[in-house]
Amino acid sequence: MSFFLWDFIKGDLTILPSTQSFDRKLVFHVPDNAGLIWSEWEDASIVYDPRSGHTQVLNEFARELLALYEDGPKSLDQLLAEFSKIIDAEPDATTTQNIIETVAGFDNMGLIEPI
Amino acid sequence: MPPTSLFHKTDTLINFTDQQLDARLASRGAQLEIGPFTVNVALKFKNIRDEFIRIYRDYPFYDNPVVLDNTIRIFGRNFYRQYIKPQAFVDVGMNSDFIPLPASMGMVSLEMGLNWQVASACKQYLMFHAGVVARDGVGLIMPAMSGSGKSTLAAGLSYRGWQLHSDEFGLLDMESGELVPYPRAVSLKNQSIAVMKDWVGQVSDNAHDHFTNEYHGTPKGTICYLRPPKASIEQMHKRTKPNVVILPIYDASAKPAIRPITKTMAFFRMVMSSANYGDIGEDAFRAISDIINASDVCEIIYPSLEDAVSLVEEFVANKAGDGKAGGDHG
Repeated sequence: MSFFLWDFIKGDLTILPSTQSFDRKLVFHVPDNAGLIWSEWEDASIVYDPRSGHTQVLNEFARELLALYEDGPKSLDQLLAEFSKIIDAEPDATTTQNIIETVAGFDNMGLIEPI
Repeated sequence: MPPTSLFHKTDTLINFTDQQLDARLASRGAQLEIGPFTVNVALKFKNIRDEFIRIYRDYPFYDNPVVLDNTIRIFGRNFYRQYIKPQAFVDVGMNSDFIPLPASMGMVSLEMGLNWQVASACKQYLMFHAGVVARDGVGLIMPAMSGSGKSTLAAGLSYRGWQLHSDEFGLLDMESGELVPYPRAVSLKNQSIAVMKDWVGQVSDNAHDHFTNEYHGTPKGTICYLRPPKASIEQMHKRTKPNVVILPIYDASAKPAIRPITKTMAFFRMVMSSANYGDIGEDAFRAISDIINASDVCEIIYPSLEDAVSLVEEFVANKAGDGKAGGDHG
């Protein structure tokens, strides 16, 4: 399972931060004033963040994770638990790492923020 | 002169003879309308005026007073630079520092100045670095980088019955969702010059009259400008909604092909080609999303102009066969 996240604002490509120090206890949410605007096509979802002016493309995996945050605030462990329910299995180590990187990417891009 | 009913400000439209236009350009300037913009053009060098008149004589010019969007003045900065090793200094009425070009570069300095004005100051339209043409309700956008052949392809299509919106600046009215024609002189570079001279020669007895001199030794190599077909000039206010996006790729060794691309890819190619997407923001995102939602998208790879035109027409014909082409919005 792979994901990609690009930041295309003015041609800059965002480098995702290290996930080594990611705090699993932090509770993140999509801010109420985010006002994210979506365009969805068969292969990906594109989101425009009017607060930053940034445009990102999310594949189905990343879109699903962000949708979970849109449902309500969550810590990483809570997110993993909900994700497990969706796929009806415990995510393996690779998937878990992908989830952590994706969440770190969301945080870096300002799509989610800690409470 | 084209029928005046097609233009905006018919009350002050003026029919210049070439001599009158030359005299006006040499003095206070002539007010030239190209699509949505009116610019006062003053040219102090005779060779640049001659080239300008050859390319722009069929465009609408206005007598005073009209509301101007821009002014551009090309002159020698002092007496010596007017006559001895003459240098064309470009004043675009903005805080800009152009390096003067040799006056022998003629139209390059004028077109460079006009490009600068639109690229840096146009905020009312969403702007794409793209060739844009239209025909029978099809609004075709071809976003591409410099050197991809988009100018040649847009010009080639325009000399085969398509309305040229622009070879370089696609403009979108975000309120109406319509493409706004801006049919300037087409900028041809290097090998494409000979290709277009041959292409225009197939449909015109006086093809040489459509082109400026060739300017050698510019940073982009040899440059030559081509006048858009008269029909495209006459239709400079006829807008069309976009419904086809094609990414053109020139490859001299390629087998001509139409390749499918995803809408996401087309979206980002449109974003990356837009000079003012970041400035406009949310409305630009919505506008490009609307374009992509309404459009059939593909990539074409071609080794020659003839192949490229065939591929475009094949793709558009299939689209028309699907019954997706909309109506005109003139």
